[in-house]
Amino acid sequence: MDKWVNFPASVDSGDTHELGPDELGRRKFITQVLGSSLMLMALPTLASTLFKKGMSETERNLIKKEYLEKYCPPGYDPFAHRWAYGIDAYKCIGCNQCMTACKIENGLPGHPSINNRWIERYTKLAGDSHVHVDTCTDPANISVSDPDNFIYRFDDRYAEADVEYSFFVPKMCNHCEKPVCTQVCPKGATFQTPDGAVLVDEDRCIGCLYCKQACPYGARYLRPIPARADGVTRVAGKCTWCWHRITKGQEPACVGICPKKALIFGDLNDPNSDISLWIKEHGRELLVLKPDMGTRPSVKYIGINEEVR
Amino acid sequence: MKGKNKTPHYAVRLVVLILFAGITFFVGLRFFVPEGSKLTGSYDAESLLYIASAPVEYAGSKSCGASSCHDSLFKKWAKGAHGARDEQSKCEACHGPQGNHPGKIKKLPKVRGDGNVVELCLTCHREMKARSTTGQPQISPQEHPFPHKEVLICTQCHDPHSPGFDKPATAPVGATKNSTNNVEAPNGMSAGESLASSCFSCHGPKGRGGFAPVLAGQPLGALKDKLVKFRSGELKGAVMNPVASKMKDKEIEALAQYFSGL
Repeated sequence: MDKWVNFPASVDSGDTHELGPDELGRRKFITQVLGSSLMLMALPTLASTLFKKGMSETERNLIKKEYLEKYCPPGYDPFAHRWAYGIDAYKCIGCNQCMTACKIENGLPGHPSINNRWIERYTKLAGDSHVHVDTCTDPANISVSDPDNFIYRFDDRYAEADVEYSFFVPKMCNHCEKPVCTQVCPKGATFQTPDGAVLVDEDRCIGCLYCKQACPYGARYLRPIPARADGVTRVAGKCTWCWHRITKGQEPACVGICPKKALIFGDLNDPNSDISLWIKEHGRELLVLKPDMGTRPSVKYIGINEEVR
Repeated sequence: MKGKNKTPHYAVRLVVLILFAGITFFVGLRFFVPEGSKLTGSYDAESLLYIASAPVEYAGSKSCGASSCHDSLFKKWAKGAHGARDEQSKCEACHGPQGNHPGKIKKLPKVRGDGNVVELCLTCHREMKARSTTGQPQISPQEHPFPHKEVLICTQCHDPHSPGFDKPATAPVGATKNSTNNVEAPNGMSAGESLASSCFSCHGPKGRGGFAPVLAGQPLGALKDKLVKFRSGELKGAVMNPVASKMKDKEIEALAQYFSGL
């Protein structure tokens, strides 16, 4: 209590200096200097924004040309394409050939949980309130598979059961038009190319997996790589739509191998491409996964129901 | 009283400051972000060339036929049920990726993976509740090879390049190339291993159990004893008798050694 008594509650008015009518004072001075300097900075910015013209066509072309020459694979113009992918779950037979082809094409290890793409089996048993889902990572499915040889199978567990409905759903990166993963990446390692593919820069990625947390579709995983100079041994892996193939004019490996034509890939800019015709044919049936996330997926589905997440 | 209803001047200042900062931020964003990045996105574009440089493994069926190396097989496939329809079972689905095939890799496997023909066919053709019922035939392996119970692998009756039931049942596995007189196996496999691949179609990959009993890890003596008894007919088995009847002592020894060692 004593220390408060000894401490002066207010400054003695005799020590302060009363401002005269023509004096500026410290507080006023700082306010005015700061304010005017901010105005000076902001006004030209505002003016230039208001009166700035958009990029002219020639400028745009120059930038495009430089980008194409410097960074794009020869003969490929990412501005000319807008890729999209269709999955027909009515046709899918769960043979997992797409997964095998994908893994070999992209040099992934055989482990069943390191996947760019996978197939889920949705099964509703009669009288059951929920749907059973199993994938290639299910122990019973692994036991009939041979991951060392890139062979993955579904077991026939529902052979005796009373099945109400059951179907296969191939899942993969949805290559969203508004990807979430690119926004959260702290290294700028994942990005969207002008043709719509979402890719990962392997040299920048540090494997923090923010993108995996952000992705609503669970399309990302940690992929082992040979140890880098900075000690990183695992980076985020994802489906690239086989970017090394589509830039050469080929279709992705999964689409090429599918024995049921359940996978469709093509260019939305071309009205006669497989995907454009397919979308036209199935216009009203088309579904995307988790439309409420606002990601606008480029992978469209038919033949799935509301249980598919 | 009057002064209480008036908005305090520090609150006004705060609002003005926030508004000002916000406007400056968004105006600055438009001003400082280069126009080019709106076109291409902002990232290290050099990685594009790296990503695009990955090797292509799956070359597609056409390259097998167009190269005229496998012309006759390709034509047969293109006319048969696996190739003539809109939904094709491609070359690389069974033989594995072409990859460096005509160059570094001289020969693609007859069957990709572990060499189990039956399971490879069943990858697509096994009867399953979730599979669509249209298109490819659905086969229950327990019931299918009717009435020839001694038929062991699908390719004995069906030509995989042009499937359908147009090929008469050939001799059972014991007489196929896997158990020729030559016990010496090619390319580094042990004799037992190369022989054993024909057992996998029933006894499962590596003998780990299919619709026939598990062989892997069984005692050496028991395996030999069983095979000898099947050969002599002392033990009865619709499948095993014709298989074992063509085996030599050397082959029985090699097989038993292989399975007991797993």
